[in-house]
Amino acid sequence: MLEVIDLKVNYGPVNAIKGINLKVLDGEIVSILGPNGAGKTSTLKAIIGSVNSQGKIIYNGEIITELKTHERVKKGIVLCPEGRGIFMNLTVYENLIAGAYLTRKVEIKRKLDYIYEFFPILEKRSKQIAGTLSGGEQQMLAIARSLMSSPKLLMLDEPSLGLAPIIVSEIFDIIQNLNKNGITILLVEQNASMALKISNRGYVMETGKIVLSGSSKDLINNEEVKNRYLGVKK
Amino acid sequence: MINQILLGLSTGATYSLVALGLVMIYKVTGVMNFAFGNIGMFFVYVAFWFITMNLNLYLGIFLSFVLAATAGYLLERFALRPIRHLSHASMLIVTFGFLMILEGLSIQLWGTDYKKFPELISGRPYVFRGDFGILVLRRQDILIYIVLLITIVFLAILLNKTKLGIAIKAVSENEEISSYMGINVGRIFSFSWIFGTLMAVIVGVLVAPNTFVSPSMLIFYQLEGFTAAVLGGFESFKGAILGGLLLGIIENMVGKYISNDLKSTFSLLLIIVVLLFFPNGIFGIRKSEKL
Repeated sequence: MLEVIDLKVNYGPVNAIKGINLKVLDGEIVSILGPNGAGKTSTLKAIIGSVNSQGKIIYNGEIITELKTHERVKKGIVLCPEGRGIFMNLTVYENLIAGAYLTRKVEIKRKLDYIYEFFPILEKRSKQIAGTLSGGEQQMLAIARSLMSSPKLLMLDEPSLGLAPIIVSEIFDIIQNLNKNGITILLVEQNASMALKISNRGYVMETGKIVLSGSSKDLINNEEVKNRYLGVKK
Repeated sequence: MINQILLGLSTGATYSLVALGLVMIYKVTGVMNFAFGNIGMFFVYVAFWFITMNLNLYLGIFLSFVLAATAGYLLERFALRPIRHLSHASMLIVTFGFLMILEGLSIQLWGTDYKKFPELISGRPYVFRGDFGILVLRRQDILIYIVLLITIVFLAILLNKTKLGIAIKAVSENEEISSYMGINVGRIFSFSWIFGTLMAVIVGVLVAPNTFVSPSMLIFYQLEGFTAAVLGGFESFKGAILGGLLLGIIENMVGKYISNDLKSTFSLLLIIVVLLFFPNGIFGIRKSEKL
């Protein structure tokens, strides 16, 4: 579904990503793990086209490197940004409608019903200003808003960041559910154990490079991953 | 007193229209448009030019609206968007450049003589008598109220009931995240400049019968529009409308009871006082963070 070849991102003199290759197959959940500053978010931003990058990004057989962000979204690539990047001054409903910007009017109602069934709390809070929601609710809104854009490939950037453990497992259940409903997921996470538990494959990034990759099973059993990311001490 | 308030409200309504144009551009693109008044002035000249060529008044004005909207689009698309990544200050300097270019160009093309511009509706003012005394309502003032009312209704529907309106609010809060929604941010920038430019010409056409057409005809209105926008917190449409109306009333009182010459000095003083003591505007509307 998605193939990234020799991707590089520079912020002025800083090489944030130094030529990485990765693949996401149809129907998979793929995780990108790694510490802060490894280039995980930059990778997602390069795929959605909000930062300048070099290299090739192929989506469903088409090179999309030259497309603008909104054109990539139209093709079904959707990014749910880090830090619950919701529109804090808009209402919950307006946030969802913003997500449905490319959706036809007749479909919006159907989508909203689906979203409210999935996240009943958002229906209750639909008239509330998004900035007044709790952290967990804001994350749910961010995911719900992404779903309004009808993603085929949903990229989630640190969906568990700053959330209580019980909410984190709820969010991961939601991600798994979405995947079962046919959405391919590319997940960036620092919470490696949770991410590997639900994903098919994973990549480990450090300082702008991919240092390890493989099936989640292999990564969970990898000594280095165990030591550095899963907190297992020998 | 009531007549003073009514007079104040009609001038205030034009300030509100200026402020709405300025706020729309600032909210969406982050640019303080210093060329606002001169863009309006230039296209009032264009309308005037059409009329002198014996074109129907309303058709001439309509054509100048179309040309102004096109100019607003082109200015944003080709002069401002390419330098967006530099800084807001550099875009502000470009608008200064346009202010001077348009002024120079209009002097070259039409000279500095004051030119008479026809009233859009003419006739004797309406006079009402009652317990409150005598109330005089000029037809041109009624037209200004109607234009403001139509603009308010248009904005209320646009911003609250349409996807485009929600996209405008989304872009003004965060451009990058808006693009993740599939919103074509560039198109929203274009819309804001077309709207702002149209507001400038609409105000120009409404006040031209009073100010006459000249290169400096809208400078005072731009200043008052800025003051109105500052009163309203600069990022709020409601604030811009109320700020304009309030400023119109205050200024009319200053003109009547203190001194007519102090009107613009008073506005400048008001900008400083409001910015010092009420940086979010006197209506206390929360400012959204510009990222």
